[in-house]
Amino acid sequence: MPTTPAVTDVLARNNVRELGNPAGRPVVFAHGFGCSQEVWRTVVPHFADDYRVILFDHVGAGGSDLSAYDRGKYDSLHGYADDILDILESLDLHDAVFVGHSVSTMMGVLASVTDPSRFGRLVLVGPSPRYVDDGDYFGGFSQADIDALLDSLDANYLGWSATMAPIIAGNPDRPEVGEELTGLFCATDPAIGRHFARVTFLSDNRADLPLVTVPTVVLQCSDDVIAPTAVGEYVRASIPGSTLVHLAATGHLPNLSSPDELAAVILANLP
Amino acid sequence: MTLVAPFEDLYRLAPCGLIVSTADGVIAEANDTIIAWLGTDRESFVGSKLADRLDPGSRLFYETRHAPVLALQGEVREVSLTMVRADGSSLAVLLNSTVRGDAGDVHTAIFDASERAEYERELLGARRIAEASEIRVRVLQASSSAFVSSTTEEQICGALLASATEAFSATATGVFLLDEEGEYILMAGAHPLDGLLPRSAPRASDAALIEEKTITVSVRDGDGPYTALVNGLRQRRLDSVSVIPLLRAGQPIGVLACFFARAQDFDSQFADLQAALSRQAAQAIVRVRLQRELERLALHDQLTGLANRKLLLETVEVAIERSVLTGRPLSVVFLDLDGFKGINDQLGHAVGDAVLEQVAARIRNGVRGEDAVGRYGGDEFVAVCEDADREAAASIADRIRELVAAPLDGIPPGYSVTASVGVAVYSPTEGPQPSNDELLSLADSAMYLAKSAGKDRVSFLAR
Repeated sequence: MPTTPAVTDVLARNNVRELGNPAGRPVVFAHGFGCSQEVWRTVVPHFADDYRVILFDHVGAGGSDLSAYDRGKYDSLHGYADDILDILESLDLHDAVFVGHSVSTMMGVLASVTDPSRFGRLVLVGPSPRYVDDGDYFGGFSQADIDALLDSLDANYLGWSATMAPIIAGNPDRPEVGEELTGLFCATDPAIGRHFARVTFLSDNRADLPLVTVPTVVLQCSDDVIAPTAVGEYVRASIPGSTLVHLAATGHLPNLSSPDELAAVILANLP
Repeated sequence: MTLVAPFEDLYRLAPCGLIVSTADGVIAEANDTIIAWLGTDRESFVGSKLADRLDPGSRLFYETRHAPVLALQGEVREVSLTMVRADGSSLAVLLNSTVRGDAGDVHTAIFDASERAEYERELLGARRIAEASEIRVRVLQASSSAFVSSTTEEQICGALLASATEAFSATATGVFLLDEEGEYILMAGAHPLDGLLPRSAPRASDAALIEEKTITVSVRDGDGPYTALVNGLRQRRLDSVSVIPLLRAGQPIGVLACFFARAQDFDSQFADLQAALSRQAAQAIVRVRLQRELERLALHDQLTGLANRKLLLETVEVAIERSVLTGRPLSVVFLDLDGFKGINDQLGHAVGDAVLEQVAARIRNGVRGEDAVGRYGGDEFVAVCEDADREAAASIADRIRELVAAPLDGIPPGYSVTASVGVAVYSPTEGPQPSNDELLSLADSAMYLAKSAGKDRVSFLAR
């Protein structure tokens, strides 16, 4: 069995940041494929007064410890789910609200199935248990589409590296961007990015959904090609007792395109 | 003459596509160039989503990587994407986008990169092949140099584990070797299903060794022979295991087992690397075993399997040092067979050898478990008994004497052997430290006393 690493190691490994009200109910935000905890920055202020907000980067992303990237461990979403449990344990969180976006939704599902004791609620934003179509199951993509994504990642290999350069530091129109070094947080090692893409888009967690015991709400955007409404409905139907809320937001990134609405709906669904 | 900048023309007919879109990605304005490139018309283009104009791979990239970076960073440059024309054909483009204004409108310039993309695709294909072979070469080089410098099976298994871990990104990897009883012993890495598999359950490792091929079992194998294994994988949240046989000239040596937590696409490169690694490892293990066997041969008597004179001398030397350190007495028992020469001369060497083999086994039975026994030469044997004073050595020596004197198998009536036994006792508290030669020759002298006193008896000399 894996052993739990030391608290400080976990917090540094996953670049864990705590904000908000230390006495409040903990809410953990988990980012999806392609970026870092920065995707939550306009959502977080809505929670700061009443909630203890925990942000982190998956290993391989943002300000995480890249030396902790073990390809064997992170060859499945279980590796990431174990990290989430490490974080909950390190901060000794109870009744935590887990807000996962995109692929992080399945990491939250896996973590809560392994150890439901620290979770109070799962909020799944744009979840998909499997992106590739399989028989009667509609995921929205073919294997060829995923291969094309990997091609696209490779084609943008140089672009990815370039985002690591501090070119945005002197952007006069958006000084706050430079200050927060967003570019750096979104920077990703190309090899890790490729591997994470493969793990994200080739995973199949359909069998894990019925095992969820934590109260769950699915938030579904309209016109989300990554996680279409049919997939959101599938997740709702597969997780016992879960509910589905449709957002007015369109696309796959409500945390960036409609942070106010997203925050309001999450808060409205927390008892 | 004043040059009037044809701004409108420059915008409408610019040598690049220009688009303004909302924060949600809906196209609000577009120039003629991009509309012409895509073979569409303004009515259907404006108001549609930029993402809808991308091929599936680009769209996935756009939604998951491009859009969040643009939103957070305010700008992205030279993103390589593939657009889809109205007639379904592809248009490779490079795209620069900037976020403008409070509403988060996005200004995008699109450059036709068809030729460049074609070239890059070829480059990319070549690079992937090169990378794959580079990994393969690196893994094999690292493993082969590690195998060559290994002197033990443990080191080889450790090196195989390291190489397999790098090559296959398995969630858990274990290297198992078969012991003499046919049990699989974990030599390196982990066995995540340890304790979950009943002993009676069919083993994929057996099948891999018998069929001489890699056996892969996954949780999606419904009614296969490995029900217990599949259940174990499920219990440990694993998806599949790939069991690679370690064989040398058809002889089973062990297996390499790679456990994966996610469904894998085991392609031919994967299989080739597996085969090469396991072949190298099996060779190295056989080499180390041969070396060990050679060492054993160099230090042991071929006929009886006992320690030879060289190893006996080393053993006595170490025993003396330990005796000095612990203060405990040390006894060396030296025995010479009585009547052996007659058997050897009259019945032949083959019978003589058989007698020596029987005597060797009897001496081994006569000593204590921790005592070392060797053949000193011809029909002379030595037992090294640590922590044995005169009394303890006397009972050992007497036991040996009696065992040797018992009737021998396969010898005609009238022939028998006995043993003249000499015991040298060294008490570190009483005398100066002897050399190994000195202690052995003292035991030899004691043996001569026994022989001259009438054979089939035990004599003692103390140091």
